[in-house]
Amino acid sequence: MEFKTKDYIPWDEYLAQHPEIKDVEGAKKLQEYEDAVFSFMMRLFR
Amino acid sequence: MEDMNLLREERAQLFRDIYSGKKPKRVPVQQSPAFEATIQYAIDAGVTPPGKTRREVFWEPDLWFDIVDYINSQIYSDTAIGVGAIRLPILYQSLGARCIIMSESGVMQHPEVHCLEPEEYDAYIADPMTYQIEVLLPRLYTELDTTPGRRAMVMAKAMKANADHMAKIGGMMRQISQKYGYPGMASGRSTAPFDYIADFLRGFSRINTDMRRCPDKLLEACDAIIPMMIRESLGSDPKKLPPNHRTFIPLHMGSFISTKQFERFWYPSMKKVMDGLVAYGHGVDLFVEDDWMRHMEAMNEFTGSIRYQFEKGDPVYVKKLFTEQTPPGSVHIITGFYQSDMLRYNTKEECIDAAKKLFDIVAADGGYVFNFDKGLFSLAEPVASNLKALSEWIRDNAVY
Repeated sequence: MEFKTKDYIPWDEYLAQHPEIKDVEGAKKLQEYEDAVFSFMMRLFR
Repeated sequence: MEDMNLLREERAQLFRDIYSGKKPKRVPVQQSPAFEATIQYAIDAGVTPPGKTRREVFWEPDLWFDIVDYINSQIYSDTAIGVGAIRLPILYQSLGARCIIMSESGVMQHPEVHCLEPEEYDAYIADPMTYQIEVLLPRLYTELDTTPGRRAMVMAKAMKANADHMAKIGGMMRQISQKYGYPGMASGRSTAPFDYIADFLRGFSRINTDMRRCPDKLLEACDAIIPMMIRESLGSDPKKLPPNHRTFIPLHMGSFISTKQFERFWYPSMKKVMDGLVAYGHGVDLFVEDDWMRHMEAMNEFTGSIRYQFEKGDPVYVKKLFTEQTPPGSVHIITGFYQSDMLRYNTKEECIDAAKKLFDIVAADGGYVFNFDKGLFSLAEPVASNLKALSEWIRDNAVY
């Protein structure tokens, strides 16, 4: 079952739109913040 | 320090054994009093600056280390005693929360609220996450009911405050674990889909109406949020989680609905969430609030390493069920069932006798972690003295 929403951007999708950082390993840290904000938003509803 | 490392490893082994279905060296002791109780306990002992109230302390994380250090120095536990499932007032106040409010005595409370109307189910089902953020959030959090720019600023403030406080808690708990030799526990959070919709979206009374008036929409909504419930605990890359990662899920609505309603509305989506949470080998810790005995046959069908903390019910029945009918390859662990009220109204000896009787039923061949039926909400005497005596007795005597 796939998680799909317009308010959460998976790293692969983001990277496809931003090829300028495709060779920067550390840029993947952005995904951790996306996940952290996602968890924060979920928490506001429980 | 070496002693602490040995103690940490011994405790970690207790939990590794329990969660993998082996009989541990002794019954592990896990204490999880509410932070409200821990704060008051420290105030009463003079650990906090004179005159500080519980309400004030909740806002001052610089005071928390001494408070948490004090309880860990007094009460035996095999896992760190921390801030529990803390609701940070700075977060809820900055957002203008209607759903979580601090009382005058310094207790974070959840009034009955709702933010989703029945005619909105279709829009919600189409993209639950987006609908929550775009439409429902400002209904629950009044400070977000403003212009987009101000909303972004309020959210940034809340997120920053939350992150700062959580970082403080994380650092504090690392220090406490090091000092007292507690093992590291990796955990995430999730919710049963039906409970998630009942808690803040539709509210307790309205969800009962929905089961009769729009059952199909409610079922669709439960299904629509299954991936969100899994994602919340496992994140975007579950394979990178530590092997001891476990998801904590407090269960809410089961005790308020019939078996028929449970089987139709609560269980099917939750089973899919549970299957998703254990798909990479991680465990789940369920807090079975109130009495779910009439649903236990279904609950026993969850696969993987599952720990159930029981508030009420029949320990004889549950032990028999888990012993005889747990799915092959799965491990079902019992915790709880010890009534916290015992500590308020009985002597130390009576508290220990109650533990002996319970252990004869649930812990004879392993498969049990000691904890109370729920988080202790007060440590006022005689609770603290009884708790101390009981915990130390379990540590020294509940040995296999």
